[in-house]
Amino acid sequence: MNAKGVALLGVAKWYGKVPAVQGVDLEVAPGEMVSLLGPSGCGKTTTLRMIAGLEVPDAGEIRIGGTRANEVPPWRRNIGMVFQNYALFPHKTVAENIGYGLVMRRRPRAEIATRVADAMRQVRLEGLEDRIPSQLSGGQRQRVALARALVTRPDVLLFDEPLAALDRKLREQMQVEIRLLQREVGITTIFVTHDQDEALTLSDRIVVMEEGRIVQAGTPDEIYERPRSHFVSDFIGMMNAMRGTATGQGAGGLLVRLAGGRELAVPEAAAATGSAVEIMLRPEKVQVNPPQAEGLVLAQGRVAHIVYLGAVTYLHVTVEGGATMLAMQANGQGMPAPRLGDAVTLGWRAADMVCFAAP
Amino acid sequence: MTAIAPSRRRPDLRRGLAATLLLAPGVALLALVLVWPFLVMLGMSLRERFPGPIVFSLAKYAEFLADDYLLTVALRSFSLALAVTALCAVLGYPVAWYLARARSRWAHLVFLGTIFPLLVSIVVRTMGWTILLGSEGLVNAALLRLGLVSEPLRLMQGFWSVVLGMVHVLLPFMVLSIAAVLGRIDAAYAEAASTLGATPLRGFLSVTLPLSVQGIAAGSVIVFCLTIGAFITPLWLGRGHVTVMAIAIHEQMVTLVDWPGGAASAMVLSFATLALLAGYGLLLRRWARR
Repeated sequence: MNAKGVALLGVAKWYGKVPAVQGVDLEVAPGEMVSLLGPSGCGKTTTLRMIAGLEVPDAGEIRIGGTRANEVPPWRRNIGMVFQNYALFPHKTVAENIGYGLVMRRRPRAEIATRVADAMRQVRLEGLEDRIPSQLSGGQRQRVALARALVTRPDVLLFDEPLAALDRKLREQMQVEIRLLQREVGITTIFVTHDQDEALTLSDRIVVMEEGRIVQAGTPDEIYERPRSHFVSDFIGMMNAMRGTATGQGAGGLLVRLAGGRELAVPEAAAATGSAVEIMLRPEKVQVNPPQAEGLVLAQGRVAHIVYLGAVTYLHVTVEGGATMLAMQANGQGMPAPRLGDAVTLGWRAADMVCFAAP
Repeated sequence: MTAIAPSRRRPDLRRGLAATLLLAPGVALLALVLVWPFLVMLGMSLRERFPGPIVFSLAKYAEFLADDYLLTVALRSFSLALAVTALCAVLGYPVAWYLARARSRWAHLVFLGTIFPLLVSIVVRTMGWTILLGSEGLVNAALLRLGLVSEPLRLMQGFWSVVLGMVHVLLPFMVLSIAAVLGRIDAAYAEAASTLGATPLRGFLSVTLPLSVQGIAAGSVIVFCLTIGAFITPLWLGRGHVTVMAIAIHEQMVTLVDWPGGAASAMVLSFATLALLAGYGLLLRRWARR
């Protein structure tokens, strides 16, 4: 399969005087699956639409397969795009929807028929050829949109919030399906989402955007484990946030004096002495009553609130100094479950903390 | 809700009653001013003479079909309605497109301009066209002054001057009908078409146009019906040279005092129009599903 890389060089877009995208640099390798993640209004959809050719950048360059594409209209870019609400043509049947791109490319009738049939088999839609979109379920519409975008063998596949309209279970199922299909076809894929789980499950690389800029790009585990800013860590997953002041470098790393008076050493962190910083710690890294306390940072506290979620339980623990810490415990591992009001010891590895300037 | 209502039939009944009460005034008015006169006319058209003994026959319909003058007039009426409808659709679509899609601050001015003809009395409007197009009118005066023509052109009195006047009045109905439908079409359809390789023109023809067919259909029905029944504009702008069915029926009833004849003409006009519209609707639906 033909896979072309996509590159954005200093791409910017204004809507009137409002900057939507301000200087985005991004390289997507052939066959790579990259997600643009961010809250609404962060410029991710505008970026995607510029790659599709639906918006024209005001500055910078968009390259598809190494050649400048800024002036190429969408109908000559050879892209496939799945829209947020799929944008299936309501007056055309499933087969006509899927075959539309081939008809526009003036392929012979017989070839269209076989390729549409192949595409329908690929997304498991056999037998629905003559339905119209309003007669399909959400998941089926999603598949039609996917087949329609792929049947033309595009160089790049673009998704705009593809799963936002589906319920949770179907969404998770479609995530797996999309990923498998994408690997099978080997197509360069860029998708936009505000759903962190979707980004984590689907991407080779996540690009986090805020206010029209890329704030961090990396593999899902890099983004999750080593966020580089408060925004990124706060946007993806739950976090314990501890405010403090940097007091200099010590043997164990950056020394941070917390609001409660305690001093912690955070490895591999740096900040100007005296500056306000924030220590972030994932709840699942916090052990409750750790069996082996050596080498852990410890805190004593009392269980103030319990959130039972089936597979896991979140404990809200009030520690010394009055702060609340969140600890996640996997259920069904034989660990004694603390009850409301119990005194507990929390422990975590110093290396699991990340530290950056307070917002 | 189930706890309060002992049976499920009562709220349904109440809703049915409410619907009946809401519909009643409108239905009563329509029955009074539309259905009743229509039935009276239908009965009249089947009588041999009026006033006189009641003898039912199809004689007046036979007379109509054998009358070259009336057939010519009917043909003219339908040609006029067809021309006006087609022109309104062709001229109105781009305006509707602009109204539905443009986020320009001029859009509301265009909207006002579109409905402005409706705010002016038909008499004033027709007089306005007379001032413009008459042999002493503005256009002829300008052409004479510029030396482009040596004597006034006959801009009035023709079929096309009636078409012009009718299009002017009826364009807003077409524009508003199409704009209402276009405004509800998700812009993503056209975008999806373009990402799939459709040029703007092919995308429009294969996606947006079929999806907006209902708007064109609704507008066409309104414009066609208003044109087929038009009386004043053909009379004044045609200056007696463009006799249409409404004028002919008026002649039959008022000048010739042939009530059954006039009623038969009116019935032919009504049923022919209905048949034509039904065929048109069927055709459009089939085309849009293609």
